[in-house]
Amino acid sequence: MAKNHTEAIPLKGITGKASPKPFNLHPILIGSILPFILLVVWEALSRLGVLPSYLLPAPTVIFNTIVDLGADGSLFGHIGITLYRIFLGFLLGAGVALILGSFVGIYRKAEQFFDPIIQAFRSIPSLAWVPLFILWMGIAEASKVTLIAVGVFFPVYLNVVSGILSVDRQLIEVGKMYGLNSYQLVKRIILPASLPSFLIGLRSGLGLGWMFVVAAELMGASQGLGYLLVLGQNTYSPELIIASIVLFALLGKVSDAILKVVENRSLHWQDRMEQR
Amino acid sequence: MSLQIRNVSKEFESRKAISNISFHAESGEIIGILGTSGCGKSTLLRAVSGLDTSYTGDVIIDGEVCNHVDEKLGFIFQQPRLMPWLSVIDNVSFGLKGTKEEKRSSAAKYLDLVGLKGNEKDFPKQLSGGMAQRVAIARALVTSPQYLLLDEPFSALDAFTKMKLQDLLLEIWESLLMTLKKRYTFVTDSSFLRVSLEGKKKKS
Repeated sequence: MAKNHTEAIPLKGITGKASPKPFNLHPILIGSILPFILLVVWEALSRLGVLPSYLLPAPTVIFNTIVDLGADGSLFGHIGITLYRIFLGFLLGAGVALILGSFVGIYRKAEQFFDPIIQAFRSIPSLAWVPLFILWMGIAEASKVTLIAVGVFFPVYLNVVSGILSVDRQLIEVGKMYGLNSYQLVKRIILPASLPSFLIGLRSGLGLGWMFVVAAELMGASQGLGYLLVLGQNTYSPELIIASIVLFALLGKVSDAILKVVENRSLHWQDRMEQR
Repeated sequence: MSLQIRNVSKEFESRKAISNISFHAESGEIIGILGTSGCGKSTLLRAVSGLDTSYTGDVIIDGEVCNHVDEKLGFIFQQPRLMPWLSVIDNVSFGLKGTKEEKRSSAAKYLDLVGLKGNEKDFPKQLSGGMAQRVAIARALVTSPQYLLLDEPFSALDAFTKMKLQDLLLEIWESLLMTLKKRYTFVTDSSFLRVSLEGKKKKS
């Protein structure tokens, strides 16, 4: 029987060469290349004396500082109190933003009533609140947590409102055709449809939360990673300052990665570019 | 059982979208609304469905003036309008009442009817346009509405599926209101045509 002339002919058969295997690396490995090179160069320059150790100590010195803090047990106390402040501030800020944002997003009158003043508050530089919060609440935990909550509030609020306002009107109409009341529309259509925007708000809010915890701990703390920054400055210990910065970066990255996992699991139904 | 539309008019700002539309649909009838794009077919259906109440005239369902969404009416939209966060079976059971098991059981029957058995756990992003519209049709049928409003729902389906679903709808529903713009493109703007069919014999 004659061979079907429409049969595909492998390219290999024509060229006689196998196509080269693509150079595949795990994304984490790809992302580690540049930091690794920078660390090696930094370490080398420090050891050669090009970088003065009293300004920029070598990465191994910074690593040893973190290990020493861990060995004497104080590291976990500093990390613990910073995480506690971030957690409480994030919970408070995101919670209030979710409630108020939902209210403003759903009810037009509430938007007209609340939104102008919220937008005015948003334009106040965050650090301007510090003296007022200290005056009102002292330098204990309450003022720090409140400052972090203020930082978290605005991105979450804005994303909740814009998420609700951009819910597809056509989906609302489907709900109305099935006789859903306002509460059911919110619960079954508006909130799930605005979830992607809310989660983006949470990630932005958490990022700002980490910025604000530094400001909060700089304004008078006796423990925390922000306190280590001040301690490092007062004791001329650049390795302590950089160790604290590294820990902030690591914790910030880990917390964002956790939210990213939550986002991916909650939004598995989305048809996203990222899922290619 | 009847659906009566009496002198329904609708304006968008100062522009008339539909003007004094009247017709009467009895049990077992199909009414086709024909007209070019933008002549007001969807506007009329939105008024009949109760999704739009800012019109003049009356929509009378079973002898009672109705200017709100009524559970006797089902609506299949031009686009599938599926909830992207719900699985296919949960989309179909969206408008049902009862326990989860009861709702899913009813939904599964209608999914089978529209040829989507086996796709219950899929999400809308995994469906083709035609499959998504079939889910929308199942969603509209599962609540057993007495009147079904169709706003060009078959435009995304292949010819075979289109015929199959039209037959299915004719078997099930006593009254069917549909727009068929694409098949009757010769009808001029704002034209209105009544097509009366009694059962399957005349539908061809």
